Amino acid sequence: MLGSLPVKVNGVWREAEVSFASEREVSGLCYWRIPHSLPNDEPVTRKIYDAVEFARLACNRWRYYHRQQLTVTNRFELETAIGESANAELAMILIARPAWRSPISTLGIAYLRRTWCNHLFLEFFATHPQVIVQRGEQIKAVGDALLHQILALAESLAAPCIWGEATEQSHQWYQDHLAIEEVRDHFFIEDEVKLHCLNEMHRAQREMLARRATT
Amino acid sequence: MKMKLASRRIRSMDELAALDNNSPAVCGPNPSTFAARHGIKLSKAYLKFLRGQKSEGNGMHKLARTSPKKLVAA
Repeated sequence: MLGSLPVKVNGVWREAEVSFASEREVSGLCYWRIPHSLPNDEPVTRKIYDAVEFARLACNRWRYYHRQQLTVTNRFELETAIGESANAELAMILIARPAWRSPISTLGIAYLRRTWCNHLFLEFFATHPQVIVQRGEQIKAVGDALLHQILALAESLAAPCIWGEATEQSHQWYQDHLAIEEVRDHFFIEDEVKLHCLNEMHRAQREMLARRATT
Repeated sequence: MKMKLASRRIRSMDELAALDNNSPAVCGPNPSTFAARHGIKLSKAYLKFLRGQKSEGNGMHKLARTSPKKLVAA
């Protein structure tokens, strides 16, 4: 496991476990399905279809790298691969799972690449359709949990920059959550932005540990 | 490119969760862009969904309903 981070479930803080996806878990992404009854809200339906399609594409893309032995499924493999070749280009999928008893097995995924110059490229992240549809449990802050874990990974790898693409739908989310003045079609988490996000991540972890101590 | 911070205040998780009301749920390029960039085919179900989105009623594709231009004899 890479780490635990808080997510809000029906208004109560709980913990999500984030880890590297194993080969079996990556194969499982192809089985994300559209819920039987979709909400009447068109943007939400679009998000659900996009999430399912992304899970399938991530699986496909990961396998492509896996055939060339350029994927990692745990931190040890990642560090070993970098130790063997400092310029290694490596693909990985981070997967967030509930640490409480839940009918939803996966909360979300993030597909990222460690580039040759030790930057992390966040290709995309997607939350599970059952999390998007919010019928049984209303789960919030899955994106934050994944983003914070990517920051923790960058910190452990001494990666100076995390970068990615933002769309019309996601630029506002990145702008708000990364506290960046303006995000257009790309973002870079480096220098003061990275430091700020790391401080927020450490605060989130402290809050989680404090809650753990009181319950 | 240098990105500027909007605020240096360290926010609590409650504040961050409150920002999640309009979460995009999927962040990154759209699936079509990603698939095209990496040469992966989109699934039939997704293509059908996209066609449905572009259609105006009857679930038929917009392009399929436009009448072809009449050919004028020279």
